[in-house]
Amino acid sequence: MPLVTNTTKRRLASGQMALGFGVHHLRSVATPVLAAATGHDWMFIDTEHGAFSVQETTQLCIAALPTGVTPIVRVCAGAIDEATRALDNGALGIVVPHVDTAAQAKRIADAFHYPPQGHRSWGGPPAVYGYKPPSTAEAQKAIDAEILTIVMLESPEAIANADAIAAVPGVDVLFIGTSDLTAELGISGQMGHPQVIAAYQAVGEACAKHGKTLGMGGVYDEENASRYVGMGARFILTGADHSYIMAGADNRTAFFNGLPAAPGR
Amino acid sequence: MAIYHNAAKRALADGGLALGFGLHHLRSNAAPMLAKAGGHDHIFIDMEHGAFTMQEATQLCIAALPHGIAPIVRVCAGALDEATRLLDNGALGIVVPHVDTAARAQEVADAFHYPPAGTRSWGGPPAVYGYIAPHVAEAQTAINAEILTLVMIESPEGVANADAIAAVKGVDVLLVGSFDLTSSMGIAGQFKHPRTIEAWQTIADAARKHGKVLGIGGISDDEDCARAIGMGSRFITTGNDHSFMVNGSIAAAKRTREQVASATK
Repeated sequence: MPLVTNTTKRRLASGQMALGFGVHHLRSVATPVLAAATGHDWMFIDTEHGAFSVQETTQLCIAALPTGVTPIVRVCAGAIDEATRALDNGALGIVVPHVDTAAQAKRIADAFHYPPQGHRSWGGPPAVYGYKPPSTAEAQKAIDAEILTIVMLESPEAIANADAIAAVPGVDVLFIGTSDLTAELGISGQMGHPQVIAAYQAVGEACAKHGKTLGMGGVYDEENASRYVGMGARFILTGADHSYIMAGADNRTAFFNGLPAAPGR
Repeated sequence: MAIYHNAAKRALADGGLALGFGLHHLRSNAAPMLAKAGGHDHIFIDMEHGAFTMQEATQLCIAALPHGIAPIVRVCAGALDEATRLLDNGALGIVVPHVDTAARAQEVADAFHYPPAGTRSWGGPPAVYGYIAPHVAEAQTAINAEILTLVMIESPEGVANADAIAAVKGVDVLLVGSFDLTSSMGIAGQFKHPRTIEAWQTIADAARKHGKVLGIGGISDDEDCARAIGMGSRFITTGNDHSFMVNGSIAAAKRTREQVASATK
């Protein structure tokens, strides 16, 4: 069986935006189908802040593979061992948060790629091949080329090191964690602050120079999202199940409470 | 979005075989991928004898849909209310065991089809449409045509009524439960007994006369399978996760012992 295509990586390679559906509450295999139904390219399973077990995470990854929605998992900064278990069981991309230096980025790229490129271990039934892989050598090479390695820059130190991080082979996306970055800068939540704009500028230039993709997280308003997409952001999180539910439910209560015939509260 | 095609129903309509991968132990969403890797058309989730919860069964159904593997579920004889919940959440076919009369077959067909063909209730997000359904009238007509309704004949009374059962509109497949049939005939497990062969033939004749599909279940040896195929059996479960694992592990242990014996000779 052919390797499942990483539609997100292909879109990014051709300069298109790739939109992510964040997952925090959902555990149903309907999740990737819902992400596809709403026009998303990838699913962002957030195990940094969500309470997913590895089993729950990988069940979602396996369910996503035939839908064309790319299963991407964010692990905790130190949980590289959970990342490789996710890759072994269906994930096609990993987001590692809080990457401040090129040395950290190098360790991550090493962990996620098979030799000779890195030191990932081979094992278990290969979900990304629908359990029918070719020879190990061929499979390892193809999987190395298909996965997405995404590092999050979310501190002033990381922004200062953006060029060196972007230069690391095997790193595909520099994803700005705008929320934590503003907190670290002492301007929490000010997504349009000049220092944030300067950060997008610096990371965007580093990506352009080294052929990497710029990613944007935590920016959801039109003015700022428009600015950063204009500056080259292509790997984009649109929100999460939590924010979609809250917005949709708020909208419906406002609708019914706003009917002219509705009795006052 | 278009409705997910029922690969088993389409294969049968084309005059081909529909091969099923039985599920008893597995709960992982990898199950439909394993079924596909093994060349099957459908998964047969056995809720009559397996201990699946409704949630577990429907997660497997939803996970199977994008693979093109038809999710088919066997419920308990009296559990038509579970059957319609399964259909609401991804199942594309239901097997009802122990159907002895045309009246019972009619109740089953009515329960599984929307009006005017039957009395099925509309509700919930439409999984078989990937959650993007057309107008409700169009969806109901299309779903009525896509699902498979299978009734099991597994008693002398069922055999005597086979012609009337086969005549019921909305019934697609007459599936013979060979174990329970021979038990109720006092010849448990005697699949080569003349009375067993005679009962199979009666059901096969009824299916052919009314343009329905025949399935003879419970058999596994070459002689029985050849006879059943010769009678027209086309809805076939090749085995289940239990038999695959037990047979595979017995073979693997035997091979290993032989290798050890050969190496230490």
